[in-house]
Amino acid sequence: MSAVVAVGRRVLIALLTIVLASLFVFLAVQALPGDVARQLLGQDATPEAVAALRETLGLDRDVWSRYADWLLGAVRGDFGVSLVSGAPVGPDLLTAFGNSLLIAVPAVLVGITVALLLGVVAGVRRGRTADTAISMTALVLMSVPEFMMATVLVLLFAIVFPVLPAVVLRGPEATPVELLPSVVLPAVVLTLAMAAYVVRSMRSSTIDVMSREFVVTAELKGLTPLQVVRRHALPSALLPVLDVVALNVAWLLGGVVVVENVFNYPGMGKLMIESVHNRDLPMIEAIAVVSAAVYVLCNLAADMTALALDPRLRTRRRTRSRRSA
Amino acid sequence: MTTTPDGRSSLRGALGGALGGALRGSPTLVVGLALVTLHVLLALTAPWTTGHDPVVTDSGDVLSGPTAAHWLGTDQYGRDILSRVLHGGRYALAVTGLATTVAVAAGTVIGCFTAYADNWLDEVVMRVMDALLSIPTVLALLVVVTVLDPDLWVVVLAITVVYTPAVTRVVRGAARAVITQDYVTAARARGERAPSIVFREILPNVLDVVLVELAMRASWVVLLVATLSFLGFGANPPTPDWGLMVEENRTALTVVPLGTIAPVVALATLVVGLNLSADGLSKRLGVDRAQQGAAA
Amino acid sequence: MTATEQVAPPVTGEPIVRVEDLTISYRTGSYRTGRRDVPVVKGVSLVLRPGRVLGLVGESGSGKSTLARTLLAQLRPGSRVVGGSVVVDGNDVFALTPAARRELRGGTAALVAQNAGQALTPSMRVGRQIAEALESHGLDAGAERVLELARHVRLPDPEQLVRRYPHQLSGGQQQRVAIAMAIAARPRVLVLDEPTTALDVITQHAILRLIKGLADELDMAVLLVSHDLGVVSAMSDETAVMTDGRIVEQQPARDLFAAPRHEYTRSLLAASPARLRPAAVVNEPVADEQQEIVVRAENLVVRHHRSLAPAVSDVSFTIGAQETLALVGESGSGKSTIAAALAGLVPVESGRLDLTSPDGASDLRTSPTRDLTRTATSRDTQTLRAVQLMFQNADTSLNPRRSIGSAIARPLKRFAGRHPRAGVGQLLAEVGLPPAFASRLPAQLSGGQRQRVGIARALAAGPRLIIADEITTALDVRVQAEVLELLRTLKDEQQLSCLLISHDLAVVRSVADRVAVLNAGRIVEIGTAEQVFTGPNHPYTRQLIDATLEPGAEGLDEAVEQVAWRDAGDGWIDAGDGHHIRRWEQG
Repeated sequence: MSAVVAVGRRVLIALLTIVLASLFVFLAVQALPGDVARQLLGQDATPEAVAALRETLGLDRDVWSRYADWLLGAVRGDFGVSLVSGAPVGPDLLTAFGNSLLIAVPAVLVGITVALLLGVVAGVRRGRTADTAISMTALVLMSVPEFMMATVLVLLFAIVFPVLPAVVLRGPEATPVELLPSVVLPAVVLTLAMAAYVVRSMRSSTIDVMSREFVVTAELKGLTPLQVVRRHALPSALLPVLDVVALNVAWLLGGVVVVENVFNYPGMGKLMIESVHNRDLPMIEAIAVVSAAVYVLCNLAADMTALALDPRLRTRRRTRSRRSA
Repeated sequence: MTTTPDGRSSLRGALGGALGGALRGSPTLVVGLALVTLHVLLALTAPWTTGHDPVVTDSGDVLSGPTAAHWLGTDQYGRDILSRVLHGGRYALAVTGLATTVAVAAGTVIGCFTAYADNWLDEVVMRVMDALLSIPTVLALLVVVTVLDPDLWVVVLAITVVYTPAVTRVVRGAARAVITQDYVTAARARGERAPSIVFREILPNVLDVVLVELAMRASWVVLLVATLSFLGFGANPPTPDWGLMVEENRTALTVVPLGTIAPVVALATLVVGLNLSADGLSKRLGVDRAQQGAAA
Repeated sequence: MTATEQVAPPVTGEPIVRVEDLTISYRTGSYRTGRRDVPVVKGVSLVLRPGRVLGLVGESGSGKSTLARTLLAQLRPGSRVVGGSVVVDGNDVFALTPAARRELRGGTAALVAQNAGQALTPSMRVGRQIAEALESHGLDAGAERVLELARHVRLPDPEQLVRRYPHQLSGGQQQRVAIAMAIAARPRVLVLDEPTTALDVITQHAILRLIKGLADELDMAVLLVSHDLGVVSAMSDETAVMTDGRIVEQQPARDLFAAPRHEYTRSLLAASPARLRPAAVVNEPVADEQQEIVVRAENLVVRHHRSLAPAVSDVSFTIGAQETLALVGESGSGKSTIAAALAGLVPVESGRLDLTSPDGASDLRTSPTRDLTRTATSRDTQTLRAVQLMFQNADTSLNPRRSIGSAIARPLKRFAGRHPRAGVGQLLAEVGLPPAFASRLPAQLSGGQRQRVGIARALAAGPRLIIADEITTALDVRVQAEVLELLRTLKDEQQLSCLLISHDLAVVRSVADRVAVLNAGRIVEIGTAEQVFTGPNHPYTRQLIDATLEPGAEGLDEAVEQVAWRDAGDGWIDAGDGHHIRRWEQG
């Protein structure tokens, strides 16, 4: 019963977070300088024409009622019409989001797995050669900006050893199959940039758990080192890392902006930059909602994994019978 | 807010003690701080050391390799690369220093107070912070920078807005652990007021976390500022800026590699320096930095 | 008493463990300050024989735990064996191959650690953890065998219990699981590292009896490490005393406690709090019959959360001027909640809680009584000042970033209006610390010194009532004696009332004037210390007293755990002279 309440509460908070985020972005974009109507019609338009367009776009009403309208539409799945293309926001965004997933999902799967593994190895072998090598590599990767990593990879694999395409030449209408060869390099950049933080976090958590009393007990039971790490240390060591993983996955959405820009890849990051340039409010708003939803979902997933890993979180403490020792 | 002279001096004492203790016997921290100090010195002295104006173009001497006059060569407009790299540090360090300090200070105060309040206010503030965190950093920055013009102060403001929630979350977590300690209970039993408890009892004991946070955020801000410029939303050309330099010169990467490599090396050494400082500090102060990143 | 059965059999049986001239050092310092090897165990030799219990006592930092864990070839990171050897069952444990070492651990020698709550893996069911101890030594780990072990350590309802996670068990049950794991592979050597320190006294008694029974039954050689002289006295055949890395005295337990030879042993025994029976110290009851009341609680109810049962219900007591009232009871009995309510840290749900002013006293001008049901934020300065708290854990009771001086100066400035600088020095002197300590940070002080600062901070306000919540629990026995003596002296000098909270009846016996016994949030007995310790008693009080082990105790009384009672309505038995016992019936 209490578990249902807890999950329900989480979901409500998640929804509230998304709505708040959309409100903040809405208000901020309202403050963007320049008149969208005038921009769309050009400098030569008559004041009457501009006023008419403003009315059609609803720009003459106050911010709150426009936000309320937008929110009602959004709840029904209608995110409005792009101010630039005049087409509904939904399909374009969906294509771009799908393309972004094409580089983000492999990056997440490979990156997280390898990073967790390396983190555990570094933590268990603390101070040894393996640890030093892993930690130093992570430090370097954290210190090089993604745009540089991308540039170097382009130089290496597309120009010096031309095995992979450097940039995508096709526009947003490219199909996933056409995009496939160009997916590799962006995905590698995302993987490297994200893995560094996860490795460090997992290492530090492993070191912490390996010194805990229950791990010592497991060792003194006569278990092998592998059994000790896998059965006893790992579940507890993963707990604090879950948040780091969730944040890094959510962060990928920001990371794709740079990577997609360098590789001219038609994903959500590139769409984001174009929309901000064009002050395309409905598109920006929709991108914000999608991003916030991804963030919130990642955090929810982390919470649920924590519930699975830690029985203390999912079972209520039973009333202790103090004298039945 | 009433901080007694006594309270303030103890805060400074705690800060000094934490730093002084951290410096002793930590090669990581010494190397890290040395790198950062080197960058600060180079940036401060850039106008007198370089001999070339970083924005003056010379159409007769473009894309030259390293020469006696231009040690690192010139870019496509004939500007001296070395001079632009050294001047670029001024912009990066100014933005980083200002933005990080403001964001960490704001996050620290908000984090301590909400942790102590532990009521509806705490709940509301944390919901708002969570919503801000859920907006991708780059999107938030782009919007703020587009709303206002991208001059130095706007970039500082934008980064502050983006990082304050993250710092708040980290400091709030640390402060909540401090609040359960008996010395805070003792202060409550004395009937002390909230500002007194926050500034006298809680703040001095989260300073170690705050110091690590400062170094760590700074390394991210450096990268973020460069990224922003790279995307064309930060420094305006022809301002010498590392991110902008990479963007301008990367098409000529095979012709004049130094035009791209030099700013990146500068950027990376500064970030490594800040990262090493954060690592050294966290190790010496017993703060788990990697986990601290969890609330980023 | 089962003492007569404990006459030591003649020493037979070959030693199973031989520690010879063992020296262990710990590496400390950084590369800059220069690394130093600090010896923590210095040339120690001992033997363990099957069926015999060797008790090892010493204060914290004496090296006893380091020594004990070498029997399982375990060293803390940074420690190393400098000289000597540890031979278990014919093998030098530090020369074993990894596979042979795993065979030793849990197979030949097993460990039960202090805090089973932390020693059990939180993410694994306890049955699985017991099974693992069998599997790792190639034994049948089937469900039936696990249940058998659970029954062996007398876990209640074993079928249900083995499917639970550690946090769902009580502290005593957790320790039983840890013992089941330890004996799973029938080890020949059992190492117990403070096995009952985290437990309440009645639970401790039961666990010790279980261990004793198992040791006899399985003919194990037992090494029992403890700081508690009573536990070692009751459990061991032979006792060794360790200080500063050396064993200074080793004798049959009975001889050691009756006639300690080494000076250090004598100082340890002398510092143990007074015996419960016979009355060693008679605390002078406050002479005045018409004693003035300082605190009066009537039908007090405190609840931590709406959905929870009250932590304290229907509690009534008074504390007279200059009187020390002790609250005793197991953890969770509500004693600390009462202290928190008095200090205004938790809201009172119902009932009265009054602070009475002395006749004509100037500091409580407006009304003769102050309402203590208000929380600290809504109390006036004079009320805040009148009630001062002292804490259990000296590590967390002082702000680590503020000097000792400023910790004491704060209440001086707030309440006493005294000039802080002069006042700080004077207070430090009163608690027996040099004035120069004012500029030090808490980390530069020992636990006992920090506890003295805690006393000085409480006195700085000029209180009428001080609340001492388990203030000596974390201290070694000799420091504990000093702190208690200081508290007693200052309380008399400054004519303070005191609410003493302790789970340790010996401490209570040595300082309290009156005692209230709490069980599940209710007072079951209240009276003068003399009345409560001599009886007649409520069965729960009797159980607490009987379960308390004192230095010199021999064996464990099995009747202690077999007390059954239940409340009989609301009535009280008046045993005369203010001694009240809650009505109960056998059940």
